[in-house]
Amino acid sequence: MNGFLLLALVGYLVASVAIHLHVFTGSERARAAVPAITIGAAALHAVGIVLQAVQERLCPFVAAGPTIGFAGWLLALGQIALARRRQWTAAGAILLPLAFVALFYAGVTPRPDAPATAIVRDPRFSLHVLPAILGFCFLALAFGAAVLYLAEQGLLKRKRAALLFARMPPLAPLGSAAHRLAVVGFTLLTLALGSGVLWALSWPEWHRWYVEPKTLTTLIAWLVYAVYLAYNHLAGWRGRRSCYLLIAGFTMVLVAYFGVRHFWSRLPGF
Amino acid sequence: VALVLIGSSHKTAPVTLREKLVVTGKEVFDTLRTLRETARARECALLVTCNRTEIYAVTDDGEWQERLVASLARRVGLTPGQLREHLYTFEGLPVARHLFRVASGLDSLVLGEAQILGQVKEALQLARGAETAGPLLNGLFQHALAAGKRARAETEIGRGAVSVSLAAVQLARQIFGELTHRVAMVLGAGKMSAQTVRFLLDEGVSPRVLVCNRTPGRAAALAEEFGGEAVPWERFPEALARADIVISSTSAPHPVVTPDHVRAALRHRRGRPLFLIDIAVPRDVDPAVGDLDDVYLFNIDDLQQVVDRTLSERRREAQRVEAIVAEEVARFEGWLRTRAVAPTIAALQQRAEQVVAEEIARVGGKLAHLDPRDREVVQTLARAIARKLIHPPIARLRAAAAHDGFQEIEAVRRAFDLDTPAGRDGADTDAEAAG
Repeated sequence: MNGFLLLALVGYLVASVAIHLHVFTGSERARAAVPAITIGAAALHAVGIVLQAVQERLCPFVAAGPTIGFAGWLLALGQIALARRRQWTAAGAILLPLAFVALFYAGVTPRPDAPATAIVRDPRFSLHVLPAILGFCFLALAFGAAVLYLAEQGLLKRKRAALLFARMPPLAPLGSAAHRLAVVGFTLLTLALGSGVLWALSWPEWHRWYVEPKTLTTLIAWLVYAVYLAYNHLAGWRGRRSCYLLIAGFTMVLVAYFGVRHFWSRLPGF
Repeated sequence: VALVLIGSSHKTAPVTLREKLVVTGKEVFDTLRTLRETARARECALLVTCNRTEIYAVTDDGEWQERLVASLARRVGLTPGQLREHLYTFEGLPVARHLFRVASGLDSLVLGEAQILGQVKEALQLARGAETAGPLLNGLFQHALAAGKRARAETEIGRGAVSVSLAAVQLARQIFGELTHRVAMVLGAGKMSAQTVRFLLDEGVSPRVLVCNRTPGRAAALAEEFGGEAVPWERFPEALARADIVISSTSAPHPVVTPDHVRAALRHRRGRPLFLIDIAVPRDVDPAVGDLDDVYLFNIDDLQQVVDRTLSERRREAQRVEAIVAEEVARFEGWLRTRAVAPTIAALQQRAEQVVAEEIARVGGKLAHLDPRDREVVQTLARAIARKLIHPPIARLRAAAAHDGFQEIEAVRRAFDLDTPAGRDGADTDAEAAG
């Protein structure tokens, strides 16, 4: 991890603390500081990613660590876009810690010795990975919105907190945002899966990829989102139950990406 | 010269007295001028709200207080002694502290209310209009406005709802975000529900308010008042599917909105939240309705709790506002001190210009051979040298003002010989205005 990335990591941590300070104590100074810190950290992060790619002569998406780090950067960008509206700054309470964890993960994951296997050198790899990583980010954003929705919904149901409300995004728009983000995320995930399948078919040992736990878990995640969207369109599910599905879907995405990588994967670098 | 304040507010005077002290409309200009004469003041401003009347003045008259109290006592028909019990007075910096607290909403009947900032601004504009506001009151009120704005921007003193109706509106905004195109429905009728609907209409809810009452005539009358639509009583369960915000205040002895009604409505709502405000006692909405998904039910006690919690959170915020007020008072004090050195700086600049003018006049004959453009260059050069020379002492003076450096001010005055007739500034100072 180079100096820029390290500073960005510290920036995300400080911004996460600041936004929580605002949400729970109402400190306006803390809120006012969040956009500037996030922009600074995201800028450092961008420089860090480019520098690392140049130094190692490696596209950031070929290894797991930098890919997740990049996703963290996209989440920080999402937060910057959201924080332009006062009440939506609170979304950072979920997004900024996620960005921090992503970059931290990128830093502690051992980097591959060999620059890349033949697979990742294939240009079709980018067609698979780009939608996958963007999809991951959109689904993470949808997850964040769903968590906030449930938290706020719980507060409203229990009739708790008066001013805490004023620091959170309004409920119905939060639900719609979660839905729209999930639609985009699902489309990208479908693209990633489709391009992945087509690409794998050209491999001699293609059948090995189908029984790979990662493929299966991703498929389950895709199914969860498909059920979510079907219910949304057909039965008009919008509220609490649909948020649980979004959380379940993203949990499956995390299992597909991290769990399988560390615990079950039989194919290295997949 | 002293900055003074005399006033009365909800904290010191009963409403019967406060209403006599209210000055409105065209009366204000005359009152301001009369007050200025009475207090023998150079400047005078009047801050009038429903809960306070305060006179701000800059005067060097030692008996301003007696004069003003006597004049006010005549106005309200009391003896000065009786009136004095209901008045408070301040002199010097405490005047600034008081006004800054007022502007921040700390001294308001409803802690942190927002109207007061506009009223402080209006007081300044009126005094300017009556030409009774001079540099000192202008500065004081500008600093007060800055303090008030900071309090609102940097703390949560003005956030949240402080009445049951406003709490309902705030909750609606929190549930739906923008209220445009949301449909409100009134069950029954009552003052509070009418007020809540008016607030909601102000927030932009659809003007087609649904009104439902057991007496069709009353429903029609109320619907007409809001420009809405009367719904027959027996059809309110169907209307529940259309309405987003329902305000219920019937006089029914038992719940009229049951979980079955709401469950049926939810089937048509496709997950859109439903916000039920039950302000009736006994309650109109079965409490079990609140357990349904996507339904938010608040009764009168719940709303009152929101108000209470907001007020207690505002009380906590008040400590932060006090800190801002203290900072702004210190800033105002600094401004006063800078003003105190202003005459010295002006004298120094005047002296420099005078020297340049004299010297140019002296050598005028010798420059006659130059063309006008070259003569202009020489004059500009002379002025530039003079300005450069007096720049460091002016910077020292400004710095000295910030830390009571009266000796330094004296040193500059002596060094540049500013107190001899040629260099006298003659302007009076507000140096002692601070206290």
